[in-house]
Amino acid sequence: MKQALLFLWERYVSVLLWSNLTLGALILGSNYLFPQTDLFASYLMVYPMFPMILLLIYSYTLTTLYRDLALSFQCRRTDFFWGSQLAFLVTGLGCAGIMAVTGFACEHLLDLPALADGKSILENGILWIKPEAIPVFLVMGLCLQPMGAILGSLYEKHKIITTVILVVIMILAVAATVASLFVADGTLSVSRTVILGTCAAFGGAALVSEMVYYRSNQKTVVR
Amino acid sequence: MREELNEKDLIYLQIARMLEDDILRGVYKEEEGVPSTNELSRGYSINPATAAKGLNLLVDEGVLYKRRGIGMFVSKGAKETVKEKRKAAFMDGYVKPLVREGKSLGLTGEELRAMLELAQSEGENEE
Amino acid sequence: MNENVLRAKGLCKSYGSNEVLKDLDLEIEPGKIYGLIGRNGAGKTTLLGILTGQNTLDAGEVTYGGEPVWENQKALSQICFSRELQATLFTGQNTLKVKQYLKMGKLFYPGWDQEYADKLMAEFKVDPKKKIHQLSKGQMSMVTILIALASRAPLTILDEPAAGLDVVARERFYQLLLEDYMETNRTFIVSTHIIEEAASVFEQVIILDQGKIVENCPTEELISQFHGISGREDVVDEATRGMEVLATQLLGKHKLATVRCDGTKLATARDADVDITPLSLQKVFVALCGHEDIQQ
Repeated sequence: MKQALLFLWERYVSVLLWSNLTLGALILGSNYLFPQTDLFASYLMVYPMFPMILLLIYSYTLTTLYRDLALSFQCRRTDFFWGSQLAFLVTGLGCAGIMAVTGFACEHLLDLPALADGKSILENGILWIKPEAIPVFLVMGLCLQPMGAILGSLYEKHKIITTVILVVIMILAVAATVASLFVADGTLSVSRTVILGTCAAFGGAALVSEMVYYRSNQKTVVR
Repeated sequence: MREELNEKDLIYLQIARMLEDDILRGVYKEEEGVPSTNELSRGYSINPATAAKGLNLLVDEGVLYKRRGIGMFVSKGAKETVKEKRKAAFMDGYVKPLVREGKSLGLTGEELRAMLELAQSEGENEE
Repeated sequence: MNENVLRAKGLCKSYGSNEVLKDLDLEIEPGKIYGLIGRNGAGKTTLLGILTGQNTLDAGEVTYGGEPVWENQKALSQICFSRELQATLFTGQNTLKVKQYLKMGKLFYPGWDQEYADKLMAEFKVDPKKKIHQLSKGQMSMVTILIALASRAPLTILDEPAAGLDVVARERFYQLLLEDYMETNRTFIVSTHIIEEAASVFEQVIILDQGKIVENCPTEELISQFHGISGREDVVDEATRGMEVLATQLLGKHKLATVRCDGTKLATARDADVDITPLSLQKVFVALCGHEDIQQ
């Protein structure tokens, strides 16, 4: 088990955490490179999309590359499965934490540019910076990982279907991000039930993914 | 070194035969050590078990003896033992094929004997 | 007697309608170098994958030291199965670096010998920073060999290790294998196509044919059962009466029969006007597994 954990830490968890740290740092740093510009403003507003997509796409590699690799070195399948679960948890928490810290830094450290109406982005209310938003991203982060993992294992046999599913999820992510912007400036109001419902839907998809993941783990043949 | 082994005969027999040849030639004298299993394995790129089989064959025949922890050594009178063994096999291994070949060439017994004598005298001249 | 014996019983494995392994039994005793030979597509890699728990099976059981291998950490950690590295994975090129593979070896194999690995890396002159897809076929083979040897696993399996190597490198591989074996006395199973070269290295040979183990016995014991009997057609037929004739070849009136028999039957053949020759392992293999391909 220890070996599986160390392996996943090095090849999966730390890669994602570093990437997210870099993203967060870029966002903060770019404020000083492109201060007061619309370019920066738009990046800042859609920033949460990137960690989520990163989580989704990188978790592909669990089943397209790393599982085979680990098993070929005599890693136990159950170790890899439960190791993945811990990896998902740590990564999800880590990414949500990084987003929270980035948001906090944006709100309190940056001199944020104003938008066309003269008000600053903060005054316009970027939703993702608000502490209430973080749990949503935590749930998303946790759910997208097993989904990405099984998409990876499906990709080999059903390239078209998995690409379609991937595109659909990405469109949903973009839509959710855009929607959150409209919610932030008041043009759209989303009830808690909708948010909870979406989280539950993702949760359900994640649960199904986990079951498929477990089964594929037991049945996979090392090439 | 590996080229010394042919692909047809059983390897452990070839190893035994090569050691016997060396004993006859005086390369290994009585009480002298012969190459170990590992040395033979390394030298001919063969499995140590095969090398051991060849060595043990010679031990069984009394040509070599084992000194525990040290290795295999040439027994007293090994040269004679090998000679006796070879003499016994000489008939089947050399004489019979010679006669058979001579027969297929249509040589008479006298012609064969004349050839033998010629070969012997030539051999003596070489020495 | 159970100690570290790898035992497979009743293995069955099919890919779709293709039955690759049919009720296969195999026993591997510790401390020997085994050669696994079989025709292309006979299922060598499948078998090895099942023996090491990396492949699933349809039926049967594999035990190591009396305990099942499947998902058993204790058994799994004693085994190393070194497969061919692939330059392209289905996701694209294999961009993993050599040193990452080595790091995995260090992580997963309890007996990993880093010093030995470094020594071999230096000898093979492979740059650890290079990516797998940048290596030549020979270098990829050398990396798999390196991992197998440095793993120091009590049961080490190499699948076609010599495939990408040239003759000089192959000779070196056999030397390294024997050196390691003399030092560690661990169990090796080496599957290969290049039968004759490797024959002298194997203490025991396993032949896989048509989904079953056809032979599993000491190399020289196997070879000594086979003979080539040649001469005039009718004389050969007479001499080989009562023997198991595996194949015959006719060139005009000259016949070569490949037979399998023990010493007593052979004695009668020796008196006839025929040539009796021993056969190499390669010829034995072709006689046993050549089937329709051999001229009858």
